Amino acid sequence: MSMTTRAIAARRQALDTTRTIPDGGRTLQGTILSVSTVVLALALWELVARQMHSVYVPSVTQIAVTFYHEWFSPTFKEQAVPSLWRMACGYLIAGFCGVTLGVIIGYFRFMFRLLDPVLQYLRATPPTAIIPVGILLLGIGDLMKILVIAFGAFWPILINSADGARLVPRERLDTARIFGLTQMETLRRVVIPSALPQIAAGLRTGLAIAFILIVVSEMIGSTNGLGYYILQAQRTFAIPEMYGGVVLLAILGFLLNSLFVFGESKVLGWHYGQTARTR
Amino acid sequence: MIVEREIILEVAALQKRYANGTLAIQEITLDVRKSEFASIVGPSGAGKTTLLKTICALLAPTAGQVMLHGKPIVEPPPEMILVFQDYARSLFPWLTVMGNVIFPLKKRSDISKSEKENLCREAIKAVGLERFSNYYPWQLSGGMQQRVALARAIAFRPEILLLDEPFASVDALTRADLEDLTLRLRADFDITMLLVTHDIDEAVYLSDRVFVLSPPPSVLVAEIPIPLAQPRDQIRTRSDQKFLELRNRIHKMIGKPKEQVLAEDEEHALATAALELNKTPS
Amino acid sequence: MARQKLLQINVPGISFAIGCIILFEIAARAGWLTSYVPPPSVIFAALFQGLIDGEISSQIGATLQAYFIGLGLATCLAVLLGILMGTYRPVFDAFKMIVEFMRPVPSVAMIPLAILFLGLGAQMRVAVITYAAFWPLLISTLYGVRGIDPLALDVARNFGIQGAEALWRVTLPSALTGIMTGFRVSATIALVVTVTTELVAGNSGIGFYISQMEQANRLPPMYAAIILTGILGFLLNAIFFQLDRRIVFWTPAAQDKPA
Repeated sequence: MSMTTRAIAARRQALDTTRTIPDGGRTLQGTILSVSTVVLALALWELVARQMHSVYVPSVTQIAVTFYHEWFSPTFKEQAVPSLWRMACGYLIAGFCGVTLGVIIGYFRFMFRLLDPVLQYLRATPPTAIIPVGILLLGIGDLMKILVIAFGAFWPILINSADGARLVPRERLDTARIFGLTQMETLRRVVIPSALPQIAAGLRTGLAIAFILIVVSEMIGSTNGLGYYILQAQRTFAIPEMYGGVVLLAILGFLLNSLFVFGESKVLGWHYGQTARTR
Repeated sequence: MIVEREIILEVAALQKRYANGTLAIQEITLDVRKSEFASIVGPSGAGKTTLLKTICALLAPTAGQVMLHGKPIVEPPPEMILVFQDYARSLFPWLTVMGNVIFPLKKRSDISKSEKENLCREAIKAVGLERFSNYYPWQLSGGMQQRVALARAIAFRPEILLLDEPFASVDALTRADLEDLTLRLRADFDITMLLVTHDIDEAVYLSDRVFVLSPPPSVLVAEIPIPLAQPRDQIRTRSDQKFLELRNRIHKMIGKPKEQVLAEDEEHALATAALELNKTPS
Repeated sequence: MARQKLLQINVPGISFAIGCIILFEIAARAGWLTSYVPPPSVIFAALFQGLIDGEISSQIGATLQAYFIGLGLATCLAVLLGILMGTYRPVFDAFKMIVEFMRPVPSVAMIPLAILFLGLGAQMRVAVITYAAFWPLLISTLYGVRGIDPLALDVARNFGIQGAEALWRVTLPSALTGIMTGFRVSATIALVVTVTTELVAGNSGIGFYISQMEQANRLPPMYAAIILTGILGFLLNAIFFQLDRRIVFWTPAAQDKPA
């Protein structure tokens, strides 16, 4: 493999937008500074809100109280759970199809070449533009949202998995051949483990996209769900509820990401060790 | 006294042309005998790696044949295992040392699990890495990683080991250790070795026979028997007069086309012969 | 085989793509697909028509305008903050937590908020686009700055280049690879968010056109506009890819050759 291919692989890793901030060298002072800016920002907000007396800018305390009332109540089950459920279904479909097809496409090089222009075009299409088509064909039920999410999350997962499978070092494939492994065995025992870091990157991006799509699809075509809730709150001027919804989304997003990173560290511990070494 | 051992590997009129049309190997014919240590030397770009890969059927020859025990090879045979130069890229980073070594054995259904583990442990011990069985390859130094690659090949108990410039990517001291390790492995496990290298001293030090390749499109320029005393020793062997003569002779051949080598070497052979006549027999 | 590589055109790939479109055409005309999906020929005719008589082309302008303004704003802010955060530890510490909390909020969740403060116009969309494009670029810039060889800064200091000047003349160019990569990601996200905001709550732009056509039940123009977004995305990707290669011309990847 030439330097170019390795450079491209490095670029693809750099394209992973969901990486955590590089945060070496933490100090106590640093942490205090971090926390104080957050506290300061919240305090500032509180002050400004109380001064302004505007409906549009509720105070932090008001938002907090509303948040507590809304989300520690049946509303959570009515609004948040459907969203999470739809997202999970769509994401799992996208993940399963994307990884399987991606690895196959990446491994059989001719397939990659064949499908490349079509893939490049389809992945450049904003998945939200598909929503009107989805509504047209499937109405505004759960199925539409699940399929839209699956469609959107599918592409980064597919392409990253294909990249991962495509960029397995030649020597590893040769080693498998030398020791007499069949194609299936090679795919299972060499290609997939080799491709796992890239597959994981694709899955992480897919998760972010699934998250976005559930909110949008519920804003455009739904009668419940978090996206619907936030937009409705804005339309009916239930402003603290609206902010509360946004905060909930932030928390959910944070939790989902952390969960993913945790799972990843369990499966890909060897990869972190290896890349740390080669620094 | 060289015992005539049976020929187990035959390369007959091998030719290899790359997909882009370049002729890498024009015609190579050589043979390898049981338990011998043979080396192939040549200038960079002579297609040495290509030659090894074609011999073990990773690449298909454009013409000619490779025969193992008289039977032509089409698929990489289990009796012949190749050890790569770039060990970092051929070892699997998600497996420990033990995991890597046992990897090829996993699909063998004719050996029990405990037997497999024994084979692996023996191989790991033979390369001196018993303490590191549970380490990951990237936690080890370059020399150690190459040992893991060797152990993985050895545990499979092949008849022939093909080595593609295996020590090119390590420092000089480690290289000396690994060279001696290879000799030990060959003795302990009775494996025939075919090594490809650009390092002439290494080739002469290790081998019973050295094949010299011309610049591409390669042909076999010379076949040099190495009658140095066994067991080889880094200091004693390398300071032997005969060693120096052999390596100088081969050195002069590198980079030159076949006709020139034959012409020049005739002179050299005659000159050496004349010198021999004037010396008292030792 | 060799000649094909020289031309660098993916003949099998493009043939396959054309084949798919033809298959699609046959399927649609034979009635195998629902009536909601017109044949490609009809869609392309509508696209052509819409571009010529200005129905679609007028919307492209609005979309691209919001897109570039939002992307531009995000770039300036993200690169500035990213360089500061990456270079000065106190700045990093100060903003670290805020960044970590605000990052996971999907930009589309900000749409109702933006509507609240800015109404339903281009301003609202630009605000959301800027928000969306900001984060990936910030993170990439941070990584880019962090990945700088400290030697470069030492050499600069040796020649008396420090402070703001060093930031501009040494840090920024060195981090450019990371920044460009982040920029390309942000550019993609920005297009998606532009179309999305137009779809959800727009009054102009391609996304708005799509939802309008859907409500008016004029399906061919609707599909035409959707195809157009894909084409736009594809073109922008290609343009920024070339830009990347030319701006950061010193990296091996840009030169497309082995090290």
